Amino acid sequence: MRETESRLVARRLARLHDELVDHAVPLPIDTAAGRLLLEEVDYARFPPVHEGRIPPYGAIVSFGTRPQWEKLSAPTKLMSDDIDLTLLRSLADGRSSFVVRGTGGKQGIVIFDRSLESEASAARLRAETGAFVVQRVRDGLVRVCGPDGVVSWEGVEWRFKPLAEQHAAQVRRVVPQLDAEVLAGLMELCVHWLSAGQVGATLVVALRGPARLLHYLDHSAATTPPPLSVACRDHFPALRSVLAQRDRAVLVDPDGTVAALDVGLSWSDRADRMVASVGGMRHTSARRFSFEEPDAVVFVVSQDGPATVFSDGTPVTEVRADPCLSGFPLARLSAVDPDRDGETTVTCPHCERVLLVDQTRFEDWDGGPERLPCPVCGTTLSLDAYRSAIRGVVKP
Amino acid sequence: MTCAHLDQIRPVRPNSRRCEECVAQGDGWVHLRMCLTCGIVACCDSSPNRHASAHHASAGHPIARSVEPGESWRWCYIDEELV
Repeated sequence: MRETESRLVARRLARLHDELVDHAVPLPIDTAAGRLLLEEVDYARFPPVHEGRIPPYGAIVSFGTRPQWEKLSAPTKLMSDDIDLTLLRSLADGRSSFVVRGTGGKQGIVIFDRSLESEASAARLRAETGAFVVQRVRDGLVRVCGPDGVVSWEGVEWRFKPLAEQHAAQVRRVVPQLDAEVLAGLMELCVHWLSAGQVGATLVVALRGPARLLHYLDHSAATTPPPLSVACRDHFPALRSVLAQRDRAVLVDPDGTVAALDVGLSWSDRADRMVASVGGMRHTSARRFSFEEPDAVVFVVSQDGPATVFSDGTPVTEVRADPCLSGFPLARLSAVDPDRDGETTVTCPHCERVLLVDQTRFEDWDGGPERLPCPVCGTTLSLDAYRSAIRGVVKP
Repeated sequence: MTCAHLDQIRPVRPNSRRCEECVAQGDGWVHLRMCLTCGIVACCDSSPNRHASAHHASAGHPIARSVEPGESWRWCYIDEELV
């Protein structure tokens, strides 16, 4: 690289570094290996244009002391520290072929026998290797899958979406009855397959007994699929395909088996009065149905991205790609603070639901109680603590 | 590494339930932190104004804790680690 070009790249990387810092983008760019990540994000954003075409691109950046790509189950791995990086990059399409780079100057190219272009595939690749997966995909989106979540740049702003597994813990606190494998599968399906693919869906999961025996269901248009499971990743492409062509709900048994498609949700007049209409029809019906059916949890994915879990008439968690300034701390810092000393329960005097509440207390706090609305019915609750947050309804 | 600034923690109580500087500016915040030396409550680094960090920079108080419901972790701005 000529000196002038080298200086230009250095200036561009410095600008990118400052931009990522200013927007609180959760990437470890100030570590020793962060420079590699910065270079790959920069290249993914501004690849060389040839004959008017902007090429897709992909790179796997390892921060480990040992090359993590040794774990890759790729049919072709060509490691060479001698080949020019510019040439290596031109071989990487971000779908099946990726540049791999690690500390100590290790670099090469890996070629898979399948496409890893989707967010779901990239998140999986990250989980398997522990590396960062940088991609520029066909619609121009630049995406980085890392241990904290998915960072993306779509041309306007930096966004961050936590990984599905980080939100599963929140659901497990309120719904401990839900099988861990089924929950993990549902979160991955909703967050990295349906949400990322902008497929709207409603999945009703029964906690005890067959899902078809839940009461507030309309089976008039129901169909029975082959034995697919939300706990089996191999079935996700088929589930995404069918859900992209359906509006009504999917029933899921406690073991993860998909029991029925095209099921309608209903509720009583009491639920109409108690549970406010919030969001679109899909969300309101999920809230009201979950209010009626304490033996079920409802996973809702909006066509525009967010994935929400409803239980007992209230949202338990919502996963969305927020602008970095607002999205990041919710995910990372909750993971480093397992202290639940402040956990308590409060019963709403109106809807009589038992609510799980996290509180922070100070013995000599004299600022009075905090007033928060019941997430189910909206009744104002007076909570005697410095600060409180209602996490959901405790399952009976 | 053991943080050498733990001796600057005092038995303080929070001065507010909100970031008063953000309120004065008409801005919002994401999360709240409390200085463990003086008890001032201010907004986190993911908030637009980052008043908690600004307080550390101006007052020199090293350690803050989260006052988000159910959270009790502490952060040393000087060592840049949880303590």
